[in-house]
Amino acid sequence: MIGLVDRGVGNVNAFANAFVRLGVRCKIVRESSAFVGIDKFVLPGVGSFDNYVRALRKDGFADALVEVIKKEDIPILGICVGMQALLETSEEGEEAGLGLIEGRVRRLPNSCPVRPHLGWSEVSWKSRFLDAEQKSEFYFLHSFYCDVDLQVVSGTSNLDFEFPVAIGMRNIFGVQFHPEKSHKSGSFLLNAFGNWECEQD
Amino acid sequence: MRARLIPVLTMLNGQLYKTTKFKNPVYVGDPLNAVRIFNESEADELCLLDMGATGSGSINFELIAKVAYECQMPLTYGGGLGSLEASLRAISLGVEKICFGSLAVTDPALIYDVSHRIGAQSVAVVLDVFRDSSGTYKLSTQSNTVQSDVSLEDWLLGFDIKAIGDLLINNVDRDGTGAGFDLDLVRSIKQLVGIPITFIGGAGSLDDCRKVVEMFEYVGLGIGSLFCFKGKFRAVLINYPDKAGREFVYYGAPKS
Amino acid sequence: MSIVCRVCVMDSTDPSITFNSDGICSHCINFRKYVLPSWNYGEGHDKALDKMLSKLKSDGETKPYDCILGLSGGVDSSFMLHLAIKEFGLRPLVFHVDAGWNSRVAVNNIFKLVDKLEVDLQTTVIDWPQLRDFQLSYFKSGLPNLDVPQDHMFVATLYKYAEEHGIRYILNGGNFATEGVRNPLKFMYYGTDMRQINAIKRLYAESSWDALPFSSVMRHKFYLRFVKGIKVWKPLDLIRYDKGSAIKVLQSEYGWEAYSQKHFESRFTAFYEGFWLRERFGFDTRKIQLSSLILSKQMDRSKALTVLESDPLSENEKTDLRKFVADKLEISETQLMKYFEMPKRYHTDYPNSEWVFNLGGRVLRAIGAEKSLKK
Repeated sequence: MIGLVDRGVGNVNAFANAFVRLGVRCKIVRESSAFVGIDKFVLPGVGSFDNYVRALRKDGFADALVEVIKKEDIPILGICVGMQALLETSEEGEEAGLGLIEGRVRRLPNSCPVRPHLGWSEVSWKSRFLDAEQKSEFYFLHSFYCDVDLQVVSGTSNLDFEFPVAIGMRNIFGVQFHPEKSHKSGSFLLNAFGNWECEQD
Repeated sequence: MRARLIPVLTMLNGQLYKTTKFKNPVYVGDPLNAVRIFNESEADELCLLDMGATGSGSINFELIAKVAYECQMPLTYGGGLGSLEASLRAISLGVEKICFGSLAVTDPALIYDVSHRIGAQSVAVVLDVFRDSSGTYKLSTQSNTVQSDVSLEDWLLGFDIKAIGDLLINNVDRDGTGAGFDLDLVRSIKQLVGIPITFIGGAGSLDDCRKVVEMFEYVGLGIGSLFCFKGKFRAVLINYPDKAGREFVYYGAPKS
Repeated sequence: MSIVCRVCVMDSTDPSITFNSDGICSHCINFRKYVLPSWNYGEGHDKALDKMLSKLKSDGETKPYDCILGLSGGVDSSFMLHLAIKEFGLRPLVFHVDAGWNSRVAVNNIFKLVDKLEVDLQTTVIDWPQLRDFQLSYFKSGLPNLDVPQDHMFVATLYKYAEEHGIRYILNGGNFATEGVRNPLKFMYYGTDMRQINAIKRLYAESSWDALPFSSVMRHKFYLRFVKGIKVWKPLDLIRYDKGSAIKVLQSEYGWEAYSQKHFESRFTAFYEGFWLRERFGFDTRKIQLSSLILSKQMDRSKALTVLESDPLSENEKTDLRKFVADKLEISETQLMKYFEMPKRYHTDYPNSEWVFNLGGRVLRAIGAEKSLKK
């Protein structure tokens, strides 16, 4: 059962619809008491970093989430700002992210042809992501990107500047684009997440 | 990144209509089936504008929810969004970008408010533009029933463009004519704005679309008539270009 | 367990079926007795074909179009258009009725054909709020044939347009090759019985239907035909029409896309035939279609049986269609399923003019104006 995290900042319904269409069981999770029976998390996010992280942190939700992920190796997929929240800090604000992946969220440089980065862009995959050969075009809508270690980067995009758009480390995953709004490319990726299994060490 | 071909669906009383220069609406049919066809055609985005709600302020949230469900691509909704509450509700139903029209001219304060609350990336503005006798581009409001004296240029100078994530320029003079996009307008806007822009009005062929992309690589192309009519009798037939047609618009020739 | 015919795949889920002592069903017997002798698999009709074509062309000489052709985007009407232009040299006005349920494949096929063949297209978009009420009324009636509203709109609109624009010949893609077996009347009663439609309207309509076109069977089979001279012509019956070959031609010449089942160019029909009729009334329309292909020697019985082993729609597709239909009809899925569970009614439970159809059919056959027992 996939838990779709809803803290009032993010379009959970689009994910619920996508998973229902794929026949993958999911439910909306608003509080840590609802973690029972959840074996994967999706963290959809829109808006500003601080706004999003504050909503996560309220009532100790973020702490409970990080604890259960670390303790039980539960896979998590962060989307857009949800991906950025997996990191430690962000240039956009003052709050601290969840710190599940080392790195800082930075503003896309001025050399980028348009900001926000809005539209369909190609993703250049460096490796298989979620154990599948992913498709190439996805929908983006963001002004900041995740500056992380090369080792955790699975896919990048290029806007006169190459930056990570898909990251993964063990059971922690993040995508900068919106799979729930990327037609078949997106549903393919979400299906891959639904089927992904953590390799036992 | 590349240009985007965006079907623009205009509604009156919950049904789809297509106007010519904002007049003489022709019945196009049920919105939900049209949206479904565009979704299955993997359209880049979808823009739904409720002309009726603009006047009455009564928004069909039930329909918005159903449309949002059918869209596996970003959805922009505009029409009657006159309060923070209505805006938040539309977003919660699954709309990616809420779009303000007349308010951008008459009372932008609400737009800044909403933007502050949900983020600029989720807010769009649609400007209905006409060219007056001196050749100046001016803005009209209330579905072109009121011609204002505000020029497009002045509006751009006075509005905090960073408060929104997408600017839609709806050309009243070209609406429904299939006479091609107004390239003068495209040229004049391109320099002034630093955010994503979508031009609506005049697309009569994929060639027309390509001409704009040649000037403006990452542009959004809002298409009405071309995606709902076919042939000399303007027979209603919902359509979206195939892969070859889309690649021609984005890149000038099929990629493969 | 149902009893299946030894020759085709119709079975006792068709309540009107009978079997002879060899286990051969009434559909096969009727087909061989009434259809085959004159149809002869479409062979030997060259003269009749030429005669009809010359008439159409000479009558239409001074007119912008010599006929009107209804195009749904399905294989029959699509292939008929291809023939009309490429083989027959006709100048049809292509006509499409949009009842609000077109699948993407349907509109795409229409677009490609009209584009490539450079023909003129007219469409009529049926007033959706009123058609919605018409369709909902049929759900409320408990009757099996939920497709009466759509079917009626298709027929009535085409006739109306032909009459209003003085077009005397209507090209219809109906054919014996793929439709030789008759729909069981108990489940798929006529869509043009105005007495029944009016009864349903009186009992269940919640809005006006004044913007919808209607045509009684007397009107279009007798009045329009014999008084106004508007004739329906089925060219696919005058040639060797092979569905498989037709699909190949359409695919290679136009990039035409196939549907998973006949009539699925309408999403509502996919819901109706793929789910509602099958699961509420226990009847699978594929049996009619496959049996027709067996009788026209275009399919082996064993292949037909294999097709019937799987469901026409996957669980996901059914779930998706149920939600879409409920959303479009502006009812909840719970309400939709309440209609599904309600007591079953049949056309005989409501006022009807079945006797007119029976009598009319006999009269038309007697004067040689119609070949057999079809819809």
